[in-house]
Amino acid sequence: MENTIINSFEEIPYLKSAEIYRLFSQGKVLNKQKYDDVHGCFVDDGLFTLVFNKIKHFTLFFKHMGYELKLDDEGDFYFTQEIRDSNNDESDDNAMKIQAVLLFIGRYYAKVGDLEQLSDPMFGLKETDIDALKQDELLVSSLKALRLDNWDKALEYLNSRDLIFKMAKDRYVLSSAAAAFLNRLITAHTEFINNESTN
Amino acid sequence: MKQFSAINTLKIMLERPNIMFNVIKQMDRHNERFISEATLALTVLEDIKSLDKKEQQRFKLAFATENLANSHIIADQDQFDNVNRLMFQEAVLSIFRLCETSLYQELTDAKLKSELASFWHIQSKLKAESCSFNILDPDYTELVEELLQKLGSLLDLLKRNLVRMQNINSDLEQLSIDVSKEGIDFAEYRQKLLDDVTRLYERHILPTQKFVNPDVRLIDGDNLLATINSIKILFDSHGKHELSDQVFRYSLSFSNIINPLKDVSNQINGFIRKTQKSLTQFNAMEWHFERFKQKYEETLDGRVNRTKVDSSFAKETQFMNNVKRIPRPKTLKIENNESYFHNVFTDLTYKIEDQLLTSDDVIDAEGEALISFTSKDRLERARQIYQLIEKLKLRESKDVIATLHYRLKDLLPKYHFVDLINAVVHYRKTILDGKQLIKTNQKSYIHHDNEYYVYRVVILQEAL
Repeated sequence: MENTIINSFEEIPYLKSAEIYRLFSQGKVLNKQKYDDVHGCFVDDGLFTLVFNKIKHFTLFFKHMGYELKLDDEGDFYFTQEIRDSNNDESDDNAMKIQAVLLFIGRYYAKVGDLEQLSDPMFGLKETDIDALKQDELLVSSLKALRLDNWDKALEYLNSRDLIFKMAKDRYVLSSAAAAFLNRLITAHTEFINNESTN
Repeated sequence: MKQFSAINTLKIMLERPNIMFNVIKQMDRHNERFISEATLALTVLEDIKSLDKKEQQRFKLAFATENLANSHIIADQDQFDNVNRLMFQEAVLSIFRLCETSLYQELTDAKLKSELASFWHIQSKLKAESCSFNILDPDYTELVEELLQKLGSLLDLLKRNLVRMQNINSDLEQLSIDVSKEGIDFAEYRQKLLDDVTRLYERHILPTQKFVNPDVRLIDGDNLLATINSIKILFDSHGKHELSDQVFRYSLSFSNIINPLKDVSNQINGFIRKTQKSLTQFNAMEWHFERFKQKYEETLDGRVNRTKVDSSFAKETQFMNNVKRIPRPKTLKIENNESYFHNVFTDLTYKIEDQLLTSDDVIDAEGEALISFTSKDRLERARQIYQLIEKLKLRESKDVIATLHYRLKDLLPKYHFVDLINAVVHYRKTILDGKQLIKTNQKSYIHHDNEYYVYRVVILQEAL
């Protein structure tokens, strides 16, 4: 028994493991695919593959650190939650900021195009889109009420959590995690409408 | 019966604005300016039924016809088919419309034409030979007054209408809500939707857009901007530059309205081209955004310190909940500046002085005093701590209790928490030495002998 446990650690390059720990400790998500600057497209993230292949090891590893490693299979991404069930203001605020800003982006984009384009590097969120978002005063004051100073800070906030990737100055593409959230909103709405009509 | 003044009646009406919102909705629906006394009473009762008796009484009194009439909230009453009908003051209705954008009355073609006609009227009067352009002529001053009042009210009307139109997205969502329903024939549905949207566009947006468009040609006269401009030129030619300036600024504001209006019509254009899938997306986003907006609007209530959106919104959708950064150990901060070194050296000096105090045998090994704990021994130990504390030097500290704790712990043999209490009390009472203590509301704790002691943090600083 002792041997197998030691082996699972030995099987994994410690540099990669440290990188994975660092990523989650910064509150990021680990997407299956990341944006590749050089080729301008999405490529498989080696760290995701590593976690996926050694899921037993990493689940146990994070459990010992006090965190639960979870896979969101709709969005193909891993994230960590604190096991201690603390009613934590900080994490509530994080979720609120993330969900609201993604909703603002989705709402704007649903007016001008198809949401799927947001996670396509050919399209993504362009400078003109960001300008339009900045023009909307309701959104700007909403950001302030979320304790995000402005749109640049809000996008930086999502970027720092790997929910969106920066392709160029003022050009972003949504990660599969963020796209999964927008899809979840659509599903919730469809369910709401259909439940209402059957009632 | 108890009566309220106009201002208090209005205040009470504004306390539960839904009553008037519903009244206005009913009148708008029937396209009437009157509401029957009974309908009003029913609306009031429906809204206040959850309140306690005394509160209900207050609202009943305020909305009583007699009170409304005496405080001039209603402009007129009449009998029609044996029903007593009330007509509210237009100003009162405007206040409520201002508070709820969905109650704005859309500007119709007819309404806009009549506005324009009144400008033509003023224009022709100013152009007439008989117009004096003399401020001493009451006909002329009244005309100017009328012009400015008209310009102001028209701008206000258009602006409010614009706000209403900018909410077009929620209208479109309402129109197309059925698209997410299962088993819908999209082609057929789309046709119906197109008809609805076209009606919305032609009845309400197109007229306003035409109205402020400087390039539009009308059969019976100049368009709005051309009319205003000709009035400006008239003032200019008579040397009334201040007036011409004012009129010019109005014309700028009118022409500024056209850009946001173009955005609105672009949105409608985009909406018409939507496929079933993107329509579903659009509706879902608008619906969730309304959910968010409700949370956001809670921050706009009367409470000054409430500026942050409540995060309960996020809990309804499973995404990134309970995810946060893992806190990392903080590094020890060593700085290279004068005050940092000053603090280090005073700490060292005090430590040395402390050592000298104990080596002078100021305090004997008094451990037994604690263990036997007779009152006499306790007093003796306290007295000795007092003497010690009078000799201790303390520097400014953000937490003087903790400082004392660590100093005494090293100084006193068999240190006990009671010693710290004695020391703090004595220090506070006697030796402040040009410094002052500030008690804060922050709590902190000391861990000693497997026990935790919670205390309020006290700051020591130079007396001002």
